[in-house]
Amino acid sequence: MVKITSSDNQEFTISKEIANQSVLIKNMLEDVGESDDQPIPLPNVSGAILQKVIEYATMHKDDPPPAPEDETKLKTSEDIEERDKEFMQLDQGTMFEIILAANYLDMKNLLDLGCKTVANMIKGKSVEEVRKLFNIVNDFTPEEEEQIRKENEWCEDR
Amino acid sequence: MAELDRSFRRLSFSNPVPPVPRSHQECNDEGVALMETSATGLSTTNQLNSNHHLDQPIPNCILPAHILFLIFSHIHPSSVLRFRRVSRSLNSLLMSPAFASSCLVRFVTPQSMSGLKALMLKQRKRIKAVDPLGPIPEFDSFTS
Repeated sequence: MVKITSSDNQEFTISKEIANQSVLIKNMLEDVGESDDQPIPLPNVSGAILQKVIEYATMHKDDPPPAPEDETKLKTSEDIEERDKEFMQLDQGTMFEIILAANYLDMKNLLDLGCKTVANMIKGKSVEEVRKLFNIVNDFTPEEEEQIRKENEWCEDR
Repeated sequence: MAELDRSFRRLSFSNPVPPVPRSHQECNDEGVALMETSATGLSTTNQLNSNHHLDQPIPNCILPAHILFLIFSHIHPSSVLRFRRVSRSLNSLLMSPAFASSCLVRFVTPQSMSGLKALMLKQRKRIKAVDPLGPIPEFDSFTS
């Protein structure tokens, strides 16, 4: 078993196969060796988010290794498993925190899932809604924005 | 693939009818036009579409640029370009060659190549109609 602690000092004990889904933790375990039972500190992840990440890793612990990339198959954001869709039914703030945690913990599948889910959310949104979603400030002058709008006329209505 | 990548960028990420570059200063090392003049006569590409570095933060944004890159790369190129208007940084990110390549890898399969080729032939005819004498090596090498 492996012990990990969150930024708010919550301690979790997980199996090695679950821990190894994070490349960061896997590398740390390899570095410190099997004998060290000191908890691994994860200062960038809160307890609540770590709990969700462990839930995801537990759900996928028996997954077969990924098949070789099929070049004929499109890798779109639509191909999300039903259980993963249910897992990602979260408020926006938690979803972004899970994405950041997956990025920090180096969990490719969870990062992919988060990015696909957000991409699906964005698809129907307006430019202003996307600014609000990511808290991005519009720093274009009205003329520049109009210029880009004209350049993109062919795809604006899609 | 590099040819296709260049051609795709020219097709999808520039004006429908790109003008012939006026000097070497207006071309990058691959010969792709950097300066594009729109219908209003304002040149925007040099000012607005500089290559984005993924370690360069997007001001105020909740997520780092490399994660935004991953998110937007899941959206089809024909839809994602409307988000160029969100901000300067996002515009640069979406117009970067790395982003174009990422979209190609995700959305273009050998099966969809024939459709892309047909689209490029159509685009080539439009460019030729404006400038019949101008060579379009990227299109010619791919569509021949």
